[in-house]
Amino acid sequence: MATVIEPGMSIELVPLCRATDVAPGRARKCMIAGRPPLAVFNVGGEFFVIDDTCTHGMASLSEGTLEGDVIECPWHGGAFNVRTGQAVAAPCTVDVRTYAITIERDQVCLVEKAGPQRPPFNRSAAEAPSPAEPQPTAEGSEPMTLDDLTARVRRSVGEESGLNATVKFAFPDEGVIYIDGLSKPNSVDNIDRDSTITITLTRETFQSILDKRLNPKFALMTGKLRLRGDIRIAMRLDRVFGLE
Amino acid sequence: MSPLVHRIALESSGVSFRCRADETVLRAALRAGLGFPYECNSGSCGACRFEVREGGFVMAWPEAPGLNERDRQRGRLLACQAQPRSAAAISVRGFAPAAPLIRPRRQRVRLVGRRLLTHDMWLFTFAGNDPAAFLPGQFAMLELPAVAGERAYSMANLPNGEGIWQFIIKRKPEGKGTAALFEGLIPGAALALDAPFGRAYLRTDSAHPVVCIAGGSGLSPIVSIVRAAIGWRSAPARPVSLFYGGRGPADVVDFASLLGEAATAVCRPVTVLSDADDVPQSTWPGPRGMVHEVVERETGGALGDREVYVAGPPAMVQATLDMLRRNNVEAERVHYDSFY
Repeated sequence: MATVIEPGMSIELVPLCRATDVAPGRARKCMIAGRPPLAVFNVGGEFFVIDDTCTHGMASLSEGTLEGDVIECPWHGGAFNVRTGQAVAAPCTVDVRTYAITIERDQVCLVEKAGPQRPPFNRSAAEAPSPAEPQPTAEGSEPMTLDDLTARVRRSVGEESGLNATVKFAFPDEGVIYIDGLSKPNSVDNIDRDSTITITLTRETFQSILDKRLNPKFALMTGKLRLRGDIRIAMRLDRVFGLE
Repeated sequence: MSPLVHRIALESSGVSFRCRADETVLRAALRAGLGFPYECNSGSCGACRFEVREGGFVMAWPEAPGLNERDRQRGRLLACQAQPRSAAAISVRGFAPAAPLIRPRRQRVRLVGRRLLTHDMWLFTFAGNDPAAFLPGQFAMLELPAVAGERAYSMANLPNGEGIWQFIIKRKPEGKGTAALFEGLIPGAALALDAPFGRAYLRTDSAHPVVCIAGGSGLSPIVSIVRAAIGWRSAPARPVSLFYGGRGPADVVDFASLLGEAATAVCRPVTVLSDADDVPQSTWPGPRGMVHEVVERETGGALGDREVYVAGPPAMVQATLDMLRRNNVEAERVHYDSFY
């Protein structure tokens, strides 16, 4: 599914490659940090970008054969329409993801919503913000420091969190928030030590989850957070932080 | 009268090779030491498709599913099914994979015995007169009595000088191939074996930790890979973890007996049962669900620095590849064998 860009949205451009690097009828694989490999196609002067990895096996679609707007995967001969991402030939059955792009000063660029990415998850239509309204400034929309986040976690944990375990949120190069859910009363500090479970993520991701802008299960599935330890304890955190 | 031999030219590379009229293009190319793209050697995956520039071919299995509509419209054929009727020139898509490390050859082997592993999986042992040369993870084509066409089975043991070939084979209720194996063969019976084939073999040029994921009889090549990754003179020893998915308690494998106590202690196999809803916790306290889900949970998706080997039924392999893609595992680190 493509990113939907609507009027009034603030966007940012992520350059992938020079348009002149991709001749008509050709493709180019582009690697951007933190994303899966992307394939840039030039179909008669029009550019399209899709995920480079085939949805069937692990082939690189940019190494396939482009006929018109259909790319044939080099491994098993399945095919996709590069405009729509639709799988058009077996054995490919799952559509490949497409990306909105623009050409800016001869650079092929991804067009993305500015700020933290908001992946879709189940919210009722009433809750979803309409594009015309300005973003609500709720608590936590400004980036919080480690101290602020620690205080916030302390408020949520309280004296008896029901965790019955120790939980460490590890922010690479920035320290930890350690919840001792075993001591009476429970306590929260920034001292790094062993824990029942360890959740590794950026401060930004953690804040997005606390602000309910990011679903923690989605974050786990997409690699935004890594979990070491018993996942059932992680699920108790949903209750502690009011995420259910 | 000896069969005719035809010369086949590979347009893209300017190389040509000889192919007997009763041999497939793919096997002839591999025997000639040429890198020809393929995976299943059984007509199902489509990796070996080619276009005919000159000459004619006979297809051993004309309806082979490896060709899709586009392929048929363009007159493409599968090299694992095509046998030449004349000298020919063919074109395979742009790149050529590396030449086979061991060229396949035909030989005869005798059934030595078989041993029960689970309610429907057996370990078969065959012996030949020549050293058993293959790479861990590869498979052999076996010609079975009273069955047309050959069947692909993956080796479960390690390459050896004694000529021993072992296969873990699942007995399928309506499978003609397995019926022939289970009923038609007695110890000492001889059959034709053509090996080795397969590109999902253990890579020995790196010492990355290895994650092995097996579904059902995908256990056969995975067991060979696990054994080699743990300790084999031709490969560096490295950390290995093994995940095996079955349906119910009847699919549980005694790994200590199959791999030996020491190897089992090293790879700590995790068995995951997917259809055990009626089984009480006390009978099966282990993980439940789909094996790829448990792999993701146990590793937290942190598979970026691993070499991953997957083998099993196509649906299980697909689900596992989806999980690996989601976790941004590089394609070069993933080796899979779909059991069509």
